[in-house]
Amino acid sequence: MKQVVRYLPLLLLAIAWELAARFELVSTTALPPLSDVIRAWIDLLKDGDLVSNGLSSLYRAFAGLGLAILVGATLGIVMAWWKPANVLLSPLVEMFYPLPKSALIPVTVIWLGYGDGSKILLIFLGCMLPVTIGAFNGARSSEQALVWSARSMGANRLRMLWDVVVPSAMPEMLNGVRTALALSFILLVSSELIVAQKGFGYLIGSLGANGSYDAMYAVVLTVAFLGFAADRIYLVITKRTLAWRE
Amino acid sequence: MARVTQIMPADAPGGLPEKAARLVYWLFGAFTRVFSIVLLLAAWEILARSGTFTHFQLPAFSEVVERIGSDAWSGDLWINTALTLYRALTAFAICAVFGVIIGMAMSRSAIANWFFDPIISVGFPMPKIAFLPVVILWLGVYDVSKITIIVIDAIFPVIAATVIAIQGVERELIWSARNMGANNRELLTQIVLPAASPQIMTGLQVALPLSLIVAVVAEMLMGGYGLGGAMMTASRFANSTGVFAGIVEIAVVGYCLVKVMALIRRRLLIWHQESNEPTTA
Amino acid sequence: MRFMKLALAGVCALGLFATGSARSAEPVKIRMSWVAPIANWGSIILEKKDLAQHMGKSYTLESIHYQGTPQTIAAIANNELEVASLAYSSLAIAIENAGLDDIRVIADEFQDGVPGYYSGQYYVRKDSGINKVEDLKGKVIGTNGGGSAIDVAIRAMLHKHGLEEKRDYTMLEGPLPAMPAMLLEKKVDLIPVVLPFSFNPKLREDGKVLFEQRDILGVTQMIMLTARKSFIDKHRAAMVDFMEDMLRIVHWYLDPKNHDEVAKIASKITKAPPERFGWLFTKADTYRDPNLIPNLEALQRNVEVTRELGFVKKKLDIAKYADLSLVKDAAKRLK
Repeated sequence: MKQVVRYLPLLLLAIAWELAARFELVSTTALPPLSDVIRAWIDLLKDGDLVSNGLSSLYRAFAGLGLAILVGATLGIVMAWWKPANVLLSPLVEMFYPLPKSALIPVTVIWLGYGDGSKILLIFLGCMLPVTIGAFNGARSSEQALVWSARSMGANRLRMLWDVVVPSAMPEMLNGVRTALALSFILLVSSELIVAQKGFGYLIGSLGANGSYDAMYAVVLTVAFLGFAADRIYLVITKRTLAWRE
Repeated sequence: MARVTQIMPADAPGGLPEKAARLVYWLFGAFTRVFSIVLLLAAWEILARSGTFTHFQLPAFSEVVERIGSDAWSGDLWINTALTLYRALTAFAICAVFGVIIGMAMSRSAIANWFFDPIISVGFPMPKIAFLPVVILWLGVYDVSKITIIVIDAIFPVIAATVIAIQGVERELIWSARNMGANNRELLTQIVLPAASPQIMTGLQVALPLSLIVAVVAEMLMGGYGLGGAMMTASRFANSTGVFAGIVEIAVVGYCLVKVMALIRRRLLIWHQESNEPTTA
Repeated sequence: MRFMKLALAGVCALGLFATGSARSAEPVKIRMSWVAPIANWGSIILEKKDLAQHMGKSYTLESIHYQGTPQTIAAIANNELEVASLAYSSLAIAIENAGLDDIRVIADEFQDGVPGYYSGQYYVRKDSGINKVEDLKGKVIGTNGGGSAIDVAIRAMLHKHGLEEKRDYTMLEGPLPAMPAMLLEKKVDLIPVVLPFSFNPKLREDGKVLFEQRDILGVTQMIMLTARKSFIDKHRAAMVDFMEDMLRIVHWYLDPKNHDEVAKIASKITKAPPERFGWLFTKADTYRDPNLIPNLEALQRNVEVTRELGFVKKKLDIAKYADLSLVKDAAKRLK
C-alpha cells in the first residue's frame, strides 16, 4: 500500500496521458493513448524483440558507463590533486563537454567504424564528463582542515589522497555518477538511432520511421523504466556507501 | 595559473625587466592553458594532410577555419550562434530558477517530494527527444517548442543536485543555527542555501552544457537556423568541411559558456574554501 | 622470461597468419543499408533468406538500419558499408561532395510515378482555400529535410510556378510520419505524403491532394542500390551470387499469391496489424522493377532537376555511374 501511494504521481501522469489522447487534445497519430502503448509493449515482449534488442543495448550502456566512471573519477581526482594534469586536461574536458556527442559521430566513425565500438565510445565520452566534473569539484572542496590535520599527522601525499581527498570527493562524485547513469540511457538511444542492427535505439528509430508510434513509445517507456530501476538501485548503494557521513 | 602570476611579480624588482618578466610569464601561462588544444589541432592538420583519409572523411583544420571565416564574413555564423545561444540560455535560466525551487520544495515538503521524486527518477533517464513530435504539435515548430524540449531535458540535473545538496548540509550546522534561534526561513536562506550552493552550482554546471547540447540536437532534428540546423544541412549535402566547422563552432561556444560558468562559480562561492588556494587560506 | 615473451609473440603472429589466410576462403561479407522499413529491400530481404542459395557460401549478408542518407554516405565512404540504398538526389551529392567517384548504381529499389502505380502525393487542408500551386505564396511548407528526394520534388514544383524559398514561402522540417498531424493541426499548409501515411483516414477526410510527384518529375527513379567499383571488381562473383538471391527473393515478394504472407512479414517488422498492408507490392504501391533494373533515363532527368535547383553544381552523366552487368548476369542464370 505504501508503495502504491509512493508511485501515485506516476499513475496520475499516466491517466493524464490517456485522457489527453482519448479526448484528442493532441493528435493520436503523434501521441497514441497509453493503453495502446501498453498493448504494443505486451506484443513486443511476446515477440521477444524487446528482450533481444534490450540485451545488446544494455551491454553497450554498461560497457560505456563502466569505463566512464573508472576513467572519469580518476581523471577528476588527479586533476584536482595535481596541477599539471589540470592545466593539460581541463581545456580538453571543457571543450568536449558541451559538444553534442552525436555531433562527434563523423569523427568517431573514422576510428572505430559504425559498430559497437563507436557507440560505446560515445556513451563513454558523454558519461565521463559529469563524473570528472563531480570528482574534480568534490576533491577540490575537500576540507582544508582535514588535509592539514592529515598532513600534520605525517601522512604522505598518496595516503592523503586515498584517505582524505577521495572520501570527501565521494558525495559530489556519486551525484555525477547518477547524472551519468541517466545520461547513459539517453546517449545509448541516440547513438543507436543513427546506425544500428539491434538495440532499443534501433527499435525506436525503425518503428518511428514507419509511424508505429504506439510501439515506439512502448520502447521509450521501457528505457525510462530501466533507467528508473537503475537509478533506484544506485540510490540504495549510494546510501550504503555514504553511511559513514552520518 | 592565475595564482602563480600573482606571486611572480611580487618577487621581481620594479621597472622594465619586471614588466617584461610579467609579459613572458603571462604568455607562458596563456600558452600552457591552450597547449593541449593546440596539440590536438596540430595532430588533426597533420593527419588530414598526410593522405590517410579522404577529404570527405577528414577535411584539414585550415580548411575548416577558412569555412568558419567565410561564414563569419557572410554573417550566417553570428545569426546561427545568436539563435542557438538564445534558445539554450533562455531554457537554462528557466531550468536554474525552477530546478532550484522544485529541489528546495522537495527537501522542505513531504508532499512535493512525494509528487516529484518518482517523476524525476523515471523522467531523468528517459530519451525525451522521442517526444519531440508531440511537443511540435502542441507548441509549434518555432522557438517555444525548442526551448520547452531543452527545459524538459536540462532541468533534471538541477533538481537532483539541489536535493542532494540540501540533504548533504551538515546537521551540526542546522542544529547550531536552530540553537541560536534561527527560524525556518532564516535557516533556509542563511544556512541551508549557502551551504548547499557549491553542489547546486555543480548541478547548474551540468545543466548549462546540456542545454546547449539539446538545443543543437533539437535544431538538427527540426532544421532552420541555428548552429545545429546549419550542421545538419551541411551533413545532408555531404559537406564535411561544414560538418567539422559546426563541431568547432559548437565546441568554441560551449567552451566559452563553461568558462563563464566557472568564473561565476568562483565569484559566487568566494567565501567557500574551494575558491581559496591553500596559500591564501 | 624473454623466451616466454618471444614464444607469446610467435603464437600471436601465427594466430594472425592463420586468420588472415583463412579469410580468403571465407564468404565475402556484404553489409546492406536501409532507412525506411518495408520500402527498402534491405529491411525485409533477410526475412526470406530461406530462398537464397548462395548466402552463407559465397557471401554473407548483414542488413543495417541507418537514420538517413548522410550517415549512409559517410558509411560507404568509410568502407563500413558495401551496398548502400540511396535516393537520386543523394547519389549526385555523394558523387560531387563526398568524392565517391567510384560509386555505381547496381539495382533498382523503387520508382515513383510509373503509369498505373503510386506517385507521391502533396496534401493541403480542404478548408485552406489553396487550390493551385500559386496559392502557396506566403505559406509554410513541410519537408523531411532539404535536398531529400521529396524535398527536391516540392521545390521543383514551386519553382516552376515562380515561387522561391524564403521570398515566397517558408520550409519547415519534420518527420514524415508526423506530417499528417502537422497539416491537420495547422502547423504547416502543404505536406508531402508517402506510403503508408496516405492511408490515414483523417487526412483523406480533411485534406486534399494538391499535386502528385509525377506532375513535376514524371517517372522518378527514387531509390536504388549502389556499391563501389573497387568492391564490385574485387568480389564480382559474390556480388552476382548476391544479386541472384536478391532476384529470387524479390520475385517472391512481388508475387501476388504470396501477398498474405508478405503482409504478415510487414506486420512483424512494423508492429502494425497485417490488414494495413493490403496495398503493399500491388499497383497501389510505388513501382518496383521485378528484375531490379533501374530506369536510368529517368534517373538522368531527376539528377538534372537536382542540379537546376542548385543542390549540386556539375552535370552528371549517369551512364558512367551505373553498372547493371551484375544484375543482368544474375538474371541470365535464373532463366
